[in-house]
Amino acid sequence: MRRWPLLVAAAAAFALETAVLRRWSVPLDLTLLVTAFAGFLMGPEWGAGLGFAGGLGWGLFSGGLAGLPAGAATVAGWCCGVVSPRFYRESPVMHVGVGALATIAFEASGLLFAWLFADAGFHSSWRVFGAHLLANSAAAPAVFLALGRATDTL
Amino acid sequence: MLEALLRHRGRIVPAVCLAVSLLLMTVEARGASVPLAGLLAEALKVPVSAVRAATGFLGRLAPYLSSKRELAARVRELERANRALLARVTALQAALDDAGLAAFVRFMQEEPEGTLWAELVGRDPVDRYRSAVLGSGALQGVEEGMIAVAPEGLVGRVVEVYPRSAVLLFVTDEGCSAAVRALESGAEGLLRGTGANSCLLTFVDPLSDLREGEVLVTSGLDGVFPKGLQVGRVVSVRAARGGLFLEAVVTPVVDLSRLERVALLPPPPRVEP
Repeated sequence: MRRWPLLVAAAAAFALETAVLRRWSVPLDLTLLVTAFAGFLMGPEWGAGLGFAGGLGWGLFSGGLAGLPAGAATVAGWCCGVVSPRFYRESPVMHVGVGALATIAFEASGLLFAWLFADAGFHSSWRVFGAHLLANSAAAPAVFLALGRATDTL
Repeated sequence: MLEALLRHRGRIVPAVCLAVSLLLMTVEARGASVPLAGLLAEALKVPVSAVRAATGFLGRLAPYLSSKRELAARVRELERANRALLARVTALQAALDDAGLAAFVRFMQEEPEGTLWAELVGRDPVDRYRSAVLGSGALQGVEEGMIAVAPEGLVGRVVEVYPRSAVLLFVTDEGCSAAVRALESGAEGLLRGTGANSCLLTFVDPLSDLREGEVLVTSGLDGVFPKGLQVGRVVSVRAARGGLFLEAVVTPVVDLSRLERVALLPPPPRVEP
């Protein structure tokens, strides 16, 4: 298993997401998908660590509470790592499910933290969330396959 | 100790990350700034700016690429249209060959040796569909019996030649007759002028399937006109007086009233019986 491609992919996903996808309003969370991949195929510590780093970077870059996306992405990466041993890792169907799980975990924990720390700017609308859920689930198999080849885990 | 940490890293790392996140949220929620947050945010802007610049460059490049694709698609479309047109031309050429019109088309394309061009300088003052005077004569190479044609088809033949002029007898003149053949039915007959802007096709086999609208071409059987020149179009078909033959009213393909210039072909060589 190679680890450095994952770090490169995380950095590239972050840059691509902030520079291109958000600019063109594409509802795809590439950083979250990389986090989900790390958690699902490399363990919860990788998922949580990468999620924390990506979320923190995202929070610092976009303004608001920097810890909120960091905490939400940590939970999402950890969730993907926890469910990993229970399922067949090579299945693209599972990758769709993991993409959806990461999105839901990120949104749910983010909403919880936003409620706890009174940050109203986290949640925009359920419609936007639905779009992200669909896009992340649909893109997850391709992202997982590419990262799996790069890290030699799939 | 280290082994225990490594063994439980799946729980420790998430817990630490979550704890740090909660700590950050607590600090930020109280209005305090996170240490090094500004520095980190500035550092993150570098790769983001690089990607943004790269995508901007690609965005500016996109119209050129798309226009190239559009051009390639247009070229393919034109190639398809060209192939279809070539096939159509080939089919039409084959049809022309079948119809006996190829000789005339080839003449118009190649201008056989001995072809002269002459202007119409005068017309019959009584009836414009009988004859005309050409502005070229024997000095220009015009000979009696030369065949006058226009791009649409047969006009008539030269009947008198002077040094600098000649008289052209139209196919619509009563004194002009030509052996013709219908393209579709193959019916043959003798075409005679009526003195007006029409001709009469006579001596047509009553069993032939001559129909209105058919195109008539010279058959070459009279020894006067070469084979394959378009002459006219059948307007109506009727039984001739006496009932032995069919006859048809024919409109010339050439608009003789507006004719200004004709090509003069040498007459077909005489064939000894």
